[in-house]
Amino acid sequence: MEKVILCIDDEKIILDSLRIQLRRELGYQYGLELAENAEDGLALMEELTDSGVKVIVIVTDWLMPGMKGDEFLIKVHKRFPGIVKIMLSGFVDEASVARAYKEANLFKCLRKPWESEELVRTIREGLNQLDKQQ
Amino acid sequence: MGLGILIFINMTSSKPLVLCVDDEPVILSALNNQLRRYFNNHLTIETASSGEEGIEILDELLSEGRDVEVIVSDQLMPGIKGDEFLTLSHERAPRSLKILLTGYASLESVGNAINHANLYRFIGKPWQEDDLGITVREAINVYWREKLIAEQNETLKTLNHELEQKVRERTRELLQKNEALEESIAVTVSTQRKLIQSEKMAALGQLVAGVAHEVNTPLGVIKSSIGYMIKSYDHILRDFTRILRVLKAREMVLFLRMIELVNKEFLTTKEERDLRQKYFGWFAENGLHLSKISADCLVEMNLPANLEKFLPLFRHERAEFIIKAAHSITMHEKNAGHIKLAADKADKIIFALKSHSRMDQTDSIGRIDLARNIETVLILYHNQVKQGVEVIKKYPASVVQLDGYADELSQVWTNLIHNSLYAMQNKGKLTIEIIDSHPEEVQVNVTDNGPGIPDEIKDKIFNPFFTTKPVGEGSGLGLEIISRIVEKHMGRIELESTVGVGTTFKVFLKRSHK
Ligand SMILES: Nc1ncnc2c1ncn2[C@@H]1O[C@H](COP(=O)(O)OP(=O)(O)OP(=O)(O)O)[C@@H](O)[C@H]1O
Ligand SMILES: [Mg+2]
Repeated sequence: MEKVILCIDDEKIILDSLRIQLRRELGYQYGLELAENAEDGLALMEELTDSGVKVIVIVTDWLMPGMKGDEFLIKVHKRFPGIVKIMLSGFVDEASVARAYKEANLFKCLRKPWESEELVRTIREGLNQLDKQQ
Repeated sequence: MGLGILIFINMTSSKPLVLCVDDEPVILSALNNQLRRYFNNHLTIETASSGEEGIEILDELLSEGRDVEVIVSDQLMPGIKGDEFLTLSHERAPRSLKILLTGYASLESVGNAINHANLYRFIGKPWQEDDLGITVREAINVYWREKLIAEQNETLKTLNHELEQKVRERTRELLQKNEALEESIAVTVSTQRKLIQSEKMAALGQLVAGVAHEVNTPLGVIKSSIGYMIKSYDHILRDFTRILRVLKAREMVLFLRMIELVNKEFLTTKEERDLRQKYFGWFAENGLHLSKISADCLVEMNLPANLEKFLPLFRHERAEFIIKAAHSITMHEKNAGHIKLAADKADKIIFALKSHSRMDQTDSIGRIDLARNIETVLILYHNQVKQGVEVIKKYPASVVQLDGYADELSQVWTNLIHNSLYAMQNKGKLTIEIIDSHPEEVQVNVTDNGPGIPDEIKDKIFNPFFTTKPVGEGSGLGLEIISRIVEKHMGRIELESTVGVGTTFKVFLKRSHK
């Protein structure tokens, strides 16, 4: 089954940077899918699931128009369990992070500007943990 | 007949008094009888047979507080003469009317009496009974009229004096109150300044959080892009040398041309997904067995969907490698583009922040590009705005300029936008319109589709400290600050708001301050 990493951010330039970075660090091992808001992200996940593609990691911004990152992850957690969830944001409301850890099984919250090593390490750690659980 | 006037004028209870002085008893009794008859006994008559006695009686009457309306005196008497007596009387009773009675008129004595005793009349002997009566009656009337006038004058004077006193007191009181007021105004102004300061600090706190987020975004891009560029440099060189080995000269030309076609525009994620589908379709049409990764690489390079010209490259036995190499080489350039964009963005934010917080300019008047002034505010509030608010900008095609204080004007937009966002709870439509159709003024409309302002509070919202926000949240100074700034720009604000529909604040500003 094809495995993809889904990145969500309302700034396309961030998505492009993430894509280039992850492509380089992770090679062509995983597909990369992008969405500019949480609603779009949810729709995309349904589509991917329908076409037999599995989202294994989500990297999402918190502050976006419409649905915020924590709310999105909680929805995802209910609908699609077993995904490594990472938040990547320049500004997060602490209560929302706490909520995401508790209700969405958030793996880690990283701050912008982020270190590429840290992001990749976090993704790998998350995937390892997921493997162990399964 | 004459009595009516008399009674009318003399308001004291006692009868008028006439003092008659003559050394001849016959004359005295004639005076007495005639006057009594004329006044029908409504008259008191005192008599004296000499000037000396006359003075005695006068002193006595005056010491009793009696009005002595008229003094009638003979001129030729033993002892002091009539004119002398009247002069002495005048010193004592200046208001009494003096009549000199004499057989032969010595001009000198009449002159004396006129000059020194303020003589009222001179009656020659023998006299007509009526003439005497009328003269005395007139004299009595004059006495009372003058006394009344004098009294009224006195009262007026006292009143006047009292009034002056009161005015003086009042003035003093007012001055004191004024001082107290001035003092309290000074206190209010300084508290207000402090409040405005603290409001600014609170706004600054929010702003810092927002700006941090705004700046962290481009910083994230820069860091990740530079990281990529440093690490992938070796890869690129390696891929390029391999490409040189794999491709023939003609293919190399195609390869370079394809790389030139790379489009640096950003596509939305949806557009990219559609583009990927097009590539899949194109692959199928041309019987190409290329992987999804190849399609992804083409999408990331944002190459045109029609790649017929480059078919030889896609049909190449190392096609997948060629595409990946093209991708990694172009990503280098794309990254550089990202860095530039991100740096520009950070620059813009810092510029907006600087002009917002007056870090690099004092409060001086200058020529302002209105749209730019508004834009700096929107950049700063971008992260708050984008959460769910659609911002519609209606700016005229040509630049609109005006004289003004850039920082203060941006505070006007900041506060208006702030109020609108708060009213809409960060969800709705915010329209900012610049209207450039008046010769003297420019107009800015800030419109939201929030809950609107009820009529009952419309005339209160500009008052300092008026707020409907929960305690501790708003100072109620936002609109007050706005009105002061607009006033300083010789402009005005109009409000249009309908409950359930929304609110428009219209700001009119003079184009020129000259
Ligand atoms: N766009 C708007 N929509 C609805 N009500 C508004 C709007 N703008 C202002 N108001 C009303 O006017 C009041 C006064 O506004 P003002 O900006 O002076 O103070 P504030 O917003 O309450 O407090 P602060 O500006 O200190 O946060 C507000 O409390 C609100 O009731
Ligand atoms: Mg306000």
